[in-house]
Amino acid sequence: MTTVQHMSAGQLSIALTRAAEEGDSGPGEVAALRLLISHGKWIERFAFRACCRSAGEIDGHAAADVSWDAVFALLTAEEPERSVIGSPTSWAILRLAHLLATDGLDLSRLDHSNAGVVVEAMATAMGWTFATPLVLVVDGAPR
Amino acid sequence: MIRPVWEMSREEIAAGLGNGFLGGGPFEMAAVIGLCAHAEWLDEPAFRVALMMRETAAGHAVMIVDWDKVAALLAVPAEERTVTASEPAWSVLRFAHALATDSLGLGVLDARGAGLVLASLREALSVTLTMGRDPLTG
Repeated sequence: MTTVQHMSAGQLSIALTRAAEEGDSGPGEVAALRLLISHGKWIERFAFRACCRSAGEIDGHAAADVSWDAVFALLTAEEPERSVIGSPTSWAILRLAHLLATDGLDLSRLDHSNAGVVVEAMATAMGWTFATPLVLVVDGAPR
Repeated sequence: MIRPVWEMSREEIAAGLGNGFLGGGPFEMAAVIGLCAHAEWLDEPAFRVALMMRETAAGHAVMIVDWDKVAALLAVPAEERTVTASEPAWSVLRFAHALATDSLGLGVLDARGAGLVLASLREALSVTLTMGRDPLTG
C-alpha cells in the first residue's frame, strides 16, 4: 500500500476526500479539505503531508485523514520555520481550513438564517459587489 | 446634538453604523453589515456599550464599533455570561469580530484565494449565494 508520504498530490487528495466523505467528518471538515485540495499548495508540501495519516482502505482504495492538532502545531510554529514553507496567502488558507475543520469559530451553532448572514458578510469582505440584488438561497428556498 | 446610544432605536443604531463604517476597510464594513443584518445585537445593552458616537468635521454624527470592547464581551466564558443572547448571536458576533480585526488573516488573499475561501464557507454552512458579480469571472 502506498504511504501518505509517497502518494502523488492527486492520490492524497482522493484519499483524504474518500475518508472524509465515507467517515464521520462534519461539513466543516469536508469543506476544509476541499479548500486545501482546491488551493493545491499544501497538498504538495511535506510540512502538511506530515500532518496526514493513513486511514486504511475503503472499498479497497487508500484513505487518509488529517491530524488537525498537527496542523495547529504547524500554524503556531516559529516564524523563521513558517516563512520557509508557505506564502502569507497559503498560511491564511491553512488557518481558515483549521478553523473550519475544528469549528474554531463556533459556526456549527448557527441556524440557517444566520449562516446566510455570515456567508454574505464574508462575500462582502472579499470584494464581491452586487450588481444585481443579492439572492440568498437557504435549503433551496430564497431568503 | 448627539443622542446617547442607549436611547436610540435599532433603526437609529443601524443607520449610525452605516455612516460609521464608511471610514473603515472592507472587512470592518462587512462585519458591521453582518451585525446589522443579524440585528439581535443592536438591541443588546452589552453590545451598545461597545458603540461610540463621533462627530465628523462636517458636523455629521457617525457611530463606530470599539472592537476591543467586543473582544472583551467575547472573552467571557460561556458559563459566566450574563448577556442572554442566543447561541447563533454569539457565533455571529465572534465571526464579525474576526472579520473586522482580520484575525483570520484573510486580508492577504488574492482573488482566487478569496473565491476558494468563500466557496468553502458556503459549503461548510450549506448556504448558496447567487451574486451579481464574481471577482474571478467578472
